[in-house]
Amino acid sequence: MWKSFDPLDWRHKKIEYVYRLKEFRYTLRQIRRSPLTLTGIGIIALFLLTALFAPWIAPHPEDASNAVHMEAGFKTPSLKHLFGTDDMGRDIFSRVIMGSRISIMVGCVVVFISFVIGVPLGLIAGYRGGRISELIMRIADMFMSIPYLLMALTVAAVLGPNLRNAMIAISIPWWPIYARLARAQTLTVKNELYIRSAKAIGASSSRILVRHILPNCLPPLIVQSSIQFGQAILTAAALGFIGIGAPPPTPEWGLMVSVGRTYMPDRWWLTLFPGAAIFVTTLGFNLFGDGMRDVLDPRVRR
Amino acid sequence: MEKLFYLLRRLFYALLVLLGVITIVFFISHLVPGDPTLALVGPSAPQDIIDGMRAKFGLDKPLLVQYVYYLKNLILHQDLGFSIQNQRPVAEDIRRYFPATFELVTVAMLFAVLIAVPVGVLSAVRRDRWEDHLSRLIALSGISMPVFWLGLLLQLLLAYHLRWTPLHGRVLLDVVTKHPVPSVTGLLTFDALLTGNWAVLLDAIKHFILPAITLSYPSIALIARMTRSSMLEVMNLEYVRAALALGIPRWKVIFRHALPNAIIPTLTIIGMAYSYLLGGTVLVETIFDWPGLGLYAVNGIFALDYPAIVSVTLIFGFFRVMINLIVDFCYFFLDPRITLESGV
Repeated sequence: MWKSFDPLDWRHKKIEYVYRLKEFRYTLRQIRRSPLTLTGIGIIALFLLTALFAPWIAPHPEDASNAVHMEAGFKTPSLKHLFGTDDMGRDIFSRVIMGSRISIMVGCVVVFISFVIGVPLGLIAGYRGGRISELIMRIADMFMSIPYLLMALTVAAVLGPNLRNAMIAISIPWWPIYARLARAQTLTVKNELYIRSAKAIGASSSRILVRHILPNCLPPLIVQSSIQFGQAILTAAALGFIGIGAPPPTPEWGLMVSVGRTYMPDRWWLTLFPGAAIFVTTLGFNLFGDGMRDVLDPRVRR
Repeated sequence: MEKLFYLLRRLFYALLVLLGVITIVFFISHLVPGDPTLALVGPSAPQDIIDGMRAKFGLDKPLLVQYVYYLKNLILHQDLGFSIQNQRPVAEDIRRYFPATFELVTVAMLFAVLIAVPVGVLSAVRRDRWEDHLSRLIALSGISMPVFWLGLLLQLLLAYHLRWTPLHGRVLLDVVTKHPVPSVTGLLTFDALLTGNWAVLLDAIKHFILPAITLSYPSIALIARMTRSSMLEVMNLEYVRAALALGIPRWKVIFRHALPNAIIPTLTIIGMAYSYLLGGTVLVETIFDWPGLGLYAVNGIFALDYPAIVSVTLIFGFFRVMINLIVDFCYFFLDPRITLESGV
């Protein structure tokens, strides 16, 4: 019993705790000093809340599916319909709000798939080095040589147009980004003393990778995920716009812009508002990711 | 000798990546669920016709054998398959549509570099001032902007309401018929410039403005951010600080001493920027009715013209690898410090 209480260990824990708190406070202070990062956090929070409470915020949640009110078609934006109505008389404001749920799903699924494929490969490449690393990174290079929007388009076109296939299609070109980042990060920590100690004690490679290297790789990977989340929304919207994403009448933002395009230039509100939703949401994730990268970058730290 | 060896290795590596790109594209094109021949002959076709089609396309062979055939046809005969939408070999279509896309991408790239480098320098020099924040906001907007939406809004504002530019298309048909352009390089605008055909040139430039701005915005963002960070790094180096301490005017230090060194890392991002540009053509060409490969691919999607879509992806991959190779070579000749070992 007594053995488990080691005063020295306890003191170490305390020091570590104090240190971490300091780090955390420093990070918070850095974020507070950057208005753009704060804006990003604000946009993301607003986006998440909107998606969470969408059916309660949207004045006409039933317009997200194929409700038809032909008599109310093409109403210009007004207090009754903030963003106007579309060709079927559906309230565009409600559709944009409901569409945030689709964007969240796309972002989560795409980031998850590319993370789960890319990070383990990157960790192995960085830790093992040699031929395995060469092989993995060369394959990553090959994937990155194909412009990602085009690869996503081809995969989506070949698999058949629907939202699930679009999400798979967007994930496929993106795992190399995670693989590269995880590898670079692994290389920087792999020769640290604590890794060598763990090895000396006889910890297995998989244990070292999962318990010691992965946690130290996470901060840049999380920052990257924020940026990828935004890019996933953007790419899904592009596929929706072309017509190989979600099928109508899904309130997917890109698809809404695509429908709106046929009624340009007179009925501009069909295009303007869904597009603005894509833009603002993606911008939020990019502002946050970019700001956090500066905060976490040790070269910029003072 | 060592240098030659380095260049050869880069070349070999590029070829390897090309082979990889072909392989990836081949396997993607065989993801088609079910039987691609069914899409051609219809599901109610008699079995012997389906079998005949399968044999004709070699689909009855194992995947690996098909892959070897595909590779052989591609390399020996530049055979990319048969386009369903236009009823002719895809290779012919590619030759036809490539120049328009190439011109658009090149102009957009020039435009991006011309805008992005000064913006990047400005935000590095005025770090943490309002200019820096503004240019960060502009840059981040660039990579957040749905290109298709930006294109539609620019069309609405500049072309429809203000009537400054044409709405869409590459060149007015009656301008070209009145002043025919002889084909020298196959690139319409460039040929017009070479032959002194000012009417066509002016019209083509007018048509370039909107698509080029739309297409280049994300790349501007990318290049500006890269220029900023490499400028910041260089500005902290001792020779720059020494130059400033010697009393050489600040603008002169920035442009004469810092920028040339800062621009080299920016070169590497060019390959990445091309990725955005090539991917973006699919959207921009759709919106502006630009008769290039992007539009061809999108039309292919609706015609279920898989050979066309797959080939465009392949060509863009080729293009991207070539750009990377050129960038590598430039890097090599511009930067004498390059370490021959850490080439990748």
